Amino acid sequence: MEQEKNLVQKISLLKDIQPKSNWVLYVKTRILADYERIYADAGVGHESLIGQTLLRQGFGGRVGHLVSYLRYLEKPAFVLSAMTFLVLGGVGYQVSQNSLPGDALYSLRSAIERATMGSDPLASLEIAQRRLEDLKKVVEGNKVRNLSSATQEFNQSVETATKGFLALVENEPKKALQVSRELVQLQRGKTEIEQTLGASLGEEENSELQNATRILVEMEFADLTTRTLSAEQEELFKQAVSAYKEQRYEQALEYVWLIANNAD
Amino acid sequence: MPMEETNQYFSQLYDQYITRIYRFVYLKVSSVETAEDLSSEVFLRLYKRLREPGREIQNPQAFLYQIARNVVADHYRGRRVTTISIEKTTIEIEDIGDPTQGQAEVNLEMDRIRQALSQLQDDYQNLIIWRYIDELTVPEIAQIIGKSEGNIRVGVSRALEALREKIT
Repeated sequence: MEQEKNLVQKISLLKDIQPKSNWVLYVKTRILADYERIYADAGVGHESLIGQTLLRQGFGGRVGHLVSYLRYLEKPAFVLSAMTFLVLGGVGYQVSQNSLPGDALYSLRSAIERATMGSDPLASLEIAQRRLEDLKKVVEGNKVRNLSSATQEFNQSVETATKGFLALVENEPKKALQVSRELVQLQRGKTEIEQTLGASLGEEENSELQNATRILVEMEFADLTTRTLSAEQEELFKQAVSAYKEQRYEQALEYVWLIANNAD
Repeated sequence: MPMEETNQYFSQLYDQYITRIYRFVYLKVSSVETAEDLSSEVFLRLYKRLREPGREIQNPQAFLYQIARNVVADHYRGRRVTTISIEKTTIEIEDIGDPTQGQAEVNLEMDRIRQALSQLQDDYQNLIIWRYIDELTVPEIAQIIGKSEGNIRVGVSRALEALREKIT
């Protein structure tokens, strides 16, 4: 009996085997985020539609819309409720600006951003930068509840930004080179967060970002081979090619920037 | 079940069982990396199942252990198991305490028990893990493997005896 008790005690030592906490958090986040992404395209939230409609009317339209309701203010009973609505609306707007993905008011903030910033490639990159900042806040503040939503929002914004950037590379390569700094900043910020988390935020998004940078580098290379380069530029070009061959596309892009700066 | 409720339910089950399932798998495969891959597969299958309309899981605990057993069996049969891509190299391996002198001795003892356990036949391993590490009751174990409680009691006793023989 004593022997059995000792043996059971020894066996219970194995209870100390536990998974790493960052892995536990990461797997849960990925499972939920990957599935949610499938359903994310199914429809736009009601509140975001309202937000878009109001904000796309422009400032004049919104004022006109508001003035048309002032007729109700002739009746004193409406004054208090109208004031309450405006004050609460203003407070809600301010609070929503500080909300993070996963918070109740985040959808309002997101709708306002989408409506006011538009959907061109530059705006998409700006939105992706904002999602990166959100994700940083979530990770730094250890806000586990928000992590899944923040990761999902960030990955979606990167996907949109990358698509927009690829369109820019194809149609306006010079502009693409100018905004590529934003893209590289995005990649660096993403890498920093991944290092903090100890896990990748998304293989697919990594690959898309890499692919966009690679295509831009290739186009710039094609352009540079048609130009006469100074000795210094030639040296930088060699380093760029070397970085490209090692699939360090961000680094290659930095050399391309230096070549462009040396042209002045 | 609406998606939000499904996610909440999954989240709750995940938090409740992830450590046990990981440990169960780890004791079978003796590799942190493989245990992580296979455990993530177990929960991925759970989530898939929860999302299937009209297919409720009566006993989540039994369901999870059943999937874990299947996933481990598939692993040993060399079947491809879908895993969630994780950059494994960036995750530090530190799942068994700190390396102080006293802890080192405990780790050594743990390793001895783990190795002895791994030499037992599969059903004995399961019974010991469930009964003495996960502290499941006999009826709970009976539900997982679909045998009578009497059978489980006899099995646990034999498994313990087999483990003692391996250790001494």
